[in-house]
Amino acid sequence: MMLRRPGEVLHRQTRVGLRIDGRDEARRISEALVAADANLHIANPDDFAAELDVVVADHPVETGAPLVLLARGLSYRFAEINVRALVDPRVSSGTLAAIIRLVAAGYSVMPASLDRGLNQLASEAGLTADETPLTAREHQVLALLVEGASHKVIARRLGVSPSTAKFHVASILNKLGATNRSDAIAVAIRRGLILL
Amino acid sequence: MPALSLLALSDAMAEAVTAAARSVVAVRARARGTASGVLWHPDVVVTAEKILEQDEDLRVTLPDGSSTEASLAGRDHTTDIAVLRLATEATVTERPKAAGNVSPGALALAIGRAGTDPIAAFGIVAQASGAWRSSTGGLVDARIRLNMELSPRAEGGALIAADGGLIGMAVFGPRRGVIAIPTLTIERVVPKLLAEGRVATGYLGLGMQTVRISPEGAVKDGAIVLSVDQDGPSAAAGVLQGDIIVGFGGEPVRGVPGLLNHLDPDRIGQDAKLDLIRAGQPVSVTVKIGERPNP
Repeated sequence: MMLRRPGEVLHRQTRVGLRIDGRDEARRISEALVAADANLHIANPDDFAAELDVVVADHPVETGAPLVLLARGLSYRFAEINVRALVDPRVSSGTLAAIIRLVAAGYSVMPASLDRGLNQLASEAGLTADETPLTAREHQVLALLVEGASHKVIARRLGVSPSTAKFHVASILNKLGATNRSDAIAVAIRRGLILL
Repeated sequence: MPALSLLALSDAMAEAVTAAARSVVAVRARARGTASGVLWHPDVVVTAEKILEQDEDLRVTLPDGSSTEASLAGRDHTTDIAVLRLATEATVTERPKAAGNVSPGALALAIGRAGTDPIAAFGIVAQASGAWRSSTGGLVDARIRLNMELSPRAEGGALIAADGGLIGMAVFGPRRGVIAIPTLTIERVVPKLLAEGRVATGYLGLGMQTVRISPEGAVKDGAIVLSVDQDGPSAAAGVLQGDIIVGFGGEPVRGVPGLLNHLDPDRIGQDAKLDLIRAGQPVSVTVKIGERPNP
């Protein structure tokens, strides 16, 4: 297996092998990746693994190429396979495409919590998905919370009653496991839910 | 120096509490139980931002026992400071002067108000060190931890030193430990909240998460860009989804919390160089730090 040095320029397309369970899911990911980054070339399933720059899989596979694993956590010995990135399956295609390019360039991209031990990692998502348990409306409310908006301001901005605004705030706190607004904001910053 | 008298110490502490209580109020802003606040001006109360479960129908019980309505003038979750404006001015407005530097081991008294009564707690300064950054990015001018049992009803109240000087506001910090929001921080934030209702912070327009990247064994943390505000300053500078931020203004960035250090209000409008890794290549862009949009 050839690994390029970090920073070495790829003068051709990045060849990506998909090892995804389910034909529809594989097609969805394939189309999304190509749409996100024209420099990605999705190989045919029967292409030789040796000619692949990166393999994207949703389960552990033996492959000579560096592996981007779509998984919410690790419950097995990832060191034995060539996992170079651990990514939540729900991540957006743009982010996944960027991670594939990084791995192809010789980097590994892991959740920062990796050092804290595998037990914790197994319970955490890898790179958490862009999408969250929050509804679109709750996202709007969260953005207003960061700006220090009162319930009244939230209500006015969203065209809802103050009690509805209050309900949304309570729901956000509940979903993020937060005890108050600033706690919710701290959690949301860590999870990338709030724009800085 | 007179011999230490337990009675004299006790009397002095009670006196100090009585004196400080003249500027401490009770604040009703949540469904269960009240919290406390400090009269900052005749018509302005400072309290803890966290205790504001509601921001309307606020009531304040003044030191003289009378009760008045209050409205929220502004809240800053980054420093846990909220400012209320009173419908009726308080008559007594002698707020304690700021305490000098406090040292670990120094005695400290927390004063709150429950109903119409002053309530007190006693402890020592457990730690006193330099400025720190809260988990939501606020700059707090000193890290003052107290060894003290604080009632939730006294949260937001005054914390005074042995000479009666105001160390700051007593609040629950990380892991429910009692900390002081220093007087200096309050003095810095209150005028902004009174003027604008908020503390404007720097804004990049990026949603990020901390990731650990390792090119050839060298491991470091960076912030991967998950989303870009298309109308924000980073989009204008050409930052793309999937970029990993590893440097800001020439300093290494160790994950998302490290970026908060660079977004203080005084950075708004300044240019900053962002060092990125994009598709394995180091890339630098210059971002003009914006201001978080006003709700």
